[in-house]
Amino acid sequence: MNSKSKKLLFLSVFFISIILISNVMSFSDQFINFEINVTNSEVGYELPSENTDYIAYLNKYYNPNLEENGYFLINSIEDYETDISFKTYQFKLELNKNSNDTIGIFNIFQYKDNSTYKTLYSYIFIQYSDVFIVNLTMFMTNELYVSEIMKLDDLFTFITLTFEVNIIDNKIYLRFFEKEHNIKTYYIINNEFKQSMFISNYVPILNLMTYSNTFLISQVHSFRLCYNSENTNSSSGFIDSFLDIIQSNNWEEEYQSWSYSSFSINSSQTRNQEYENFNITLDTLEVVSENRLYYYNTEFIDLSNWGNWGIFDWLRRGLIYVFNTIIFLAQGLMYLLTIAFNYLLVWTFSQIIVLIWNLVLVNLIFAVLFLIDWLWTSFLLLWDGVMIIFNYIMSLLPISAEAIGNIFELISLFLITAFSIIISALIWVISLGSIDFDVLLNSVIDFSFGIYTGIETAFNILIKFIPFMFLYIIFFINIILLLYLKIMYVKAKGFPKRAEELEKTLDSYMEIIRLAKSIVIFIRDLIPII
Amino acid sequence: MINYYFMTLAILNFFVLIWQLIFKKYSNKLMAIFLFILSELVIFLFIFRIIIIKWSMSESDFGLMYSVLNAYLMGAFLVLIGFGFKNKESKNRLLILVIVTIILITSASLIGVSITINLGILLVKEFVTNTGQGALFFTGNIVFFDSIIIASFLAEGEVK
Repeated sequence: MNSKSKKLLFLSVFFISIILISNVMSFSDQFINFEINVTNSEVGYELPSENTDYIAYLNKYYNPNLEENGYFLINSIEDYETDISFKTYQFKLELNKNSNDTIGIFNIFQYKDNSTYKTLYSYIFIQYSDVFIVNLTMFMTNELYVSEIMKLDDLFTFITLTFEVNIIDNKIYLRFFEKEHNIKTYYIINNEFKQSMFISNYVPILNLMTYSNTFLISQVHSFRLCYNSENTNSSSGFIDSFLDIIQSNNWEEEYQSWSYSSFSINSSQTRNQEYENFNITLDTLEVVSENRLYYYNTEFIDLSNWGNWGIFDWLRRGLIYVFNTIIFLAQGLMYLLTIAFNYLLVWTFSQIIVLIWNLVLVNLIFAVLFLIDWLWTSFLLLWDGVMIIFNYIMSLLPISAEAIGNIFELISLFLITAFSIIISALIWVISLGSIDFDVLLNSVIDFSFGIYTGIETAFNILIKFIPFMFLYIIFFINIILLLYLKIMYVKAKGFPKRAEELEKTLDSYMEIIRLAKSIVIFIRDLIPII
Repeated sequence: MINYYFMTLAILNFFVLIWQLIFKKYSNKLMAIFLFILSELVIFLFIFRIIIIKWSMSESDFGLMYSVLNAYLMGAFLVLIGFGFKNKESKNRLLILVIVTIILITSASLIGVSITINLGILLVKEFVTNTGQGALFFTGNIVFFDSIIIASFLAEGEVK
């Protein structure tokens, strides 16, 4: 390859890499389904209207306790974050064939429809034998829902469910499928979405205003629910079992411990402050003493660990005793160090933080708020005063306030008429009074009004153009600076001919600036005083 | 949703590659394959609607001025990253013909061409030739353009 093709290759690779890097996420997320088999369309829920602003949420619901009467309870929203991308969600589920194991998958969408938040729940239940009937009334309070109950064959105990959200032809598709055993469920939600998914995929938060009607949606959290039919009280999911593992480590029974006193920071009482524009509640802090345990082990090395030494067994016992004593002493030392460090922390951090917060910071926050409130109210009062004075002055003037807005128009009209009168008078004098003055004046006024309207429209267009002109100038200056930098780079590399080329380019770019400068000088020279 | 026209183009492009490889249009076969991949990528950008080109029918005052400025800045940018036109008369004539045709079609910038690029890097995604949107496009994505210019430093070499 010659150097030219190398350059081309490099540039192309650079561009491709930029495109690829920027679209890795989107390519992985986007999925286009060529064949859609809609089995369950228009299930019987109301459709969102056209004026729908979609807001992205990721809701995680946890603590699915199963009560005795068989109701599901969703207690609290645990997490909340914005997410504006479509995703494919996969989760593995293990089913115990012998037990009466049921899995419930909940999917929650939230969106904003005509300034009211609405929620769409979809859920699936999977189990082996009996159909599990769920009371749906709790989900039906002003909310949309889709539900389906799946019944599995007895052949497999392990499934991987994939969940996909997609928009095709202005319709949302929710899809659950399981690849190995070909279990499929489709949901379709008819709607009139105005934008394609691809634009909404890339919308940064700053551009949300531009694409306010685009469809932004997020998933969706799923959980597993297992229960035993014999004992309904012991409902256990995978999170509960994890908690069981932690609780099963009963340190207090296995190890001996020394105790020491420590402190923790709690909130003691709340202070509430209300202003006209602010309402803030702050907690005051206090230090509470706690008793904590330091675990130690006297028999760190067990006798059985080192085997049997026969005749020298006394040596083994002695050595183990010595090692255990040394380790015990080390533990004691660490205990003392812990106490010391604990006291250090308490007397430096806790006391200082609590004191500073309770005495200084809380009062400072309230003081700042008070100051802002005072400034704001005083500003409003001042503004009222200014308006009163302004209205009083305006009432004294012979012309109305609306006329002030058109003052420039009035001035220009006055100037045009004055100009027309002077011109027509001159022509009348030159013609030695042979022309009718009124006819002449009317025609001159018409003529000058024609010129005036032309100038006015051009001026309006120019005023609209000014902000864009500044943007063009900014980008142009940026390009010139980078070109200058490039010339320096090329010279440093030792390519004189290329540098000459670039200098010519720079010269041509600077030509516009020279032109602008000459225009400015020309206008300046028109004014005789300067 | 899917543009079948571009899908057909993407398939036909493969036959073009085979034709190039057999009849040795390009001296370098690697280059032919590379250009094939590049063009396929561009076609798929259109298919997935990452790049959208359409007429912008909104008439604008001062449209000719805007399109001249947009074209000037785009040209300045392209020259700076090394896509300068060489001094060949036939090329220049062709270029002038294309420009005149475009001006005739757009009826002297009363109608513009809008290009939407849905890339994550770009803050302003729409570029319209005959409105001030061009200025917003250049200055809004100034970091993107500057980084390309600075990267093009590496491709600099001596001219023969």
